Amino acid sequence: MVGEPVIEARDLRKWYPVRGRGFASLLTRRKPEFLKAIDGITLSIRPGEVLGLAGESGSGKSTTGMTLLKLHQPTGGEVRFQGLGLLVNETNRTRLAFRRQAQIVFQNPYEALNPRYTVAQSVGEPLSIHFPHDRDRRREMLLRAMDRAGLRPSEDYLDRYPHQLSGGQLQRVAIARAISVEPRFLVADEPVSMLDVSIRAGILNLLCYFASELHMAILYISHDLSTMRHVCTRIAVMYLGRIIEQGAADTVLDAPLHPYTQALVGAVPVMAGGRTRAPSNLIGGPADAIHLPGGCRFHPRCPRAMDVCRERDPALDLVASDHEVACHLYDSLSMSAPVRGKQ
Amino acid sequence: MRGFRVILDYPSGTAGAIVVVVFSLLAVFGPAIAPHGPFEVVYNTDHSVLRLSPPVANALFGTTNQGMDVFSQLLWGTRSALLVGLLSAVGSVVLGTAVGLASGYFGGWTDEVLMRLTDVAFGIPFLPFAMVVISLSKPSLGLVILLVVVFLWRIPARVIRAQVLSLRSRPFIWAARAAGASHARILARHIAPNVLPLSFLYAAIGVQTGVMLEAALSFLGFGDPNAMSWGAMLNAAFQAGAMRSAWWWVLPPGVALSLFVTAIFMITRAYEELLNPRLRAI
Repeated sequence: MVGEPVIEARDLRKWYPVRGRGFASLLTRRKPEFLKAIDGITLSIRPGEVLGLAGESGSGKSTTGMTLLKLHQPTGGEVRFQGLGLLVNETNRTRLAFRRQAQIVFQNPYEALNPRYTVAQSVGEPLSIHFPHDRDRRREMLLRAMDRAGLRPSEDYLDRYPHQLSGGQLQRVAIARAISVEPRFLVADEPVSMLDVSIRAGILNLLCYFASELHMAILYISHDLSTMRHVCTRIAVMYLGRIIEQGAADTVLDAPLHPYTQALVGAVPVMAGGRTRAPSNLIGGPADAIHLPGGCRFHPRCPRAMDVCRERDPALDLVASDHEVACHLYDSLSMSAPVRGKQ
Repeated sequence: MRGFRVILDYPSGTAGAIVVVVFSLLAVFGPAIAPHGPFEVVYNTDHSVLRLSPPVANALFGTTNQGMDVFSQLLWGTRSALLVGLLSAVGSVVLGTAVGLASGYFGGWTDEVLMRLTDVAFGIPFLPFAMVVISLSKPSLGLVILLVVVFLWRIPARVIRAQVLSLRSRPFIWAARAAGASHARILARHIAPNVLPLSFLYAAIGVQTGVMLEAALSFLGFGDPNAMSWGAMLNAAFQAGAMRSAWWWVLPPGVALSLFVTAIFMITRAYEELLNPRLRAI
């Protein structure tokens, strides 16, 4: 892919204090505990690239999306947008400039729109925030966004309220709203998981179109690996707040290295007559993100755990071109010194 | 006015609305149609005072022991009762809504401070508190309104905070934030419109409570001595020892008070069913 990364995260952390705040926590002197929703993530997305973020519930996928958009303040690490750090020089103008360039589509289209707003008001809201004085331009961008999101003819939708539309239509409205300001970075947080299977492809094709034709950088968050091959150029797999494998979409899906990724890929239903894979042999459920196991955070569930896994946390190492994995099984393959995600 | 029409869908709501409208008209036009002033003495044709008289032609509801016209007092009293009710309701709901919005939306220390303040307000027993404050200063209608506001804001504050807490985490609020909306815009455009129906409910309850508390204070002799009110009429009748003998003096303010409070209750009942669909399914 060409071009400088639109968005980059370096060693990003988001920890939530578990004990209450306020007077009570000031008085009791207990060691504060943290839920480590994101625990050191490094990633970057270039224009036209769709990065799929996979992982089971509670692995921190959505928190990563929200933190990249600064909807959550990171506890540590750095987010850079078009080469500029986002934690520093936070003025109202830079905040608005960033908001114009980075947008999000949520999982539940029924909740993502204000029930009291018409479609025109919902899609037009970002425009009226960013172009308050330019009525003609707003109108033009509104209609263009509706057209790009497949809401045609737009007159049929402009004056409707959310309760008058179907789930697929609502998700297209939410997408039109997100792309109305023509952002360079889009987070799609499980955009199809609440939709009927028959209309998923249409929504996913929109994402492909935004990446290839409008050169957006897209973070596609999903637990559903089967949709990822269709949409993503690259895939990152998360486990308990950390990326454990990352690489080109086909590589990760066809030749997964990390035992966790292998189990995830093995869990995808395969059409009869197609390839068959060994069933998952993971042990138990994910550890709790407050009391992480020492060493590799995956070792209690790993079918191939070794002694070293209980002691040393593996770093995300490059093991082939554009294929990184955080697993001691591949320590010998590691190309020179760890490139990223140093621990 | 959509909400208002729904109230009329319920028979109790309609009845309540009619009573409240009649009282409001009396509050506005009553003093103009009252035959006498609230403290004006009514005389017989022979210039003697018409004292403690049952209803007669020139005193429709009879007179008090000082010869004042009960009908005129009732009309003037309606105005001060509704004035106290309306102003204290508006004041308490505006204050309570503002506190609830700020507390629920900003959270953190703002929430902590405002909610501990609300806890303190929940500890105030109205009558003893109001009697002490009024004893230490000059009794007036304005002071009564202020006291009722101080007493009432706590309930809408808590309820609206809870509502905002659940709204705040809805995806469309996140979407607004991602779109670059300021806190002021999110509060005004996305959160406030979704809590205003609750504010209106508490405004109606506030009118009712305000009228009752003003009557209670006046009955105890802590009302504004220059303003006639339903409570003040009952207080005068009580002090004159006429509670049992002069029914024409006690009945009008007592019935007016009960009728008005019941009417508001019926409206709030209908409104509550509108807000809470679970009550509707019977």
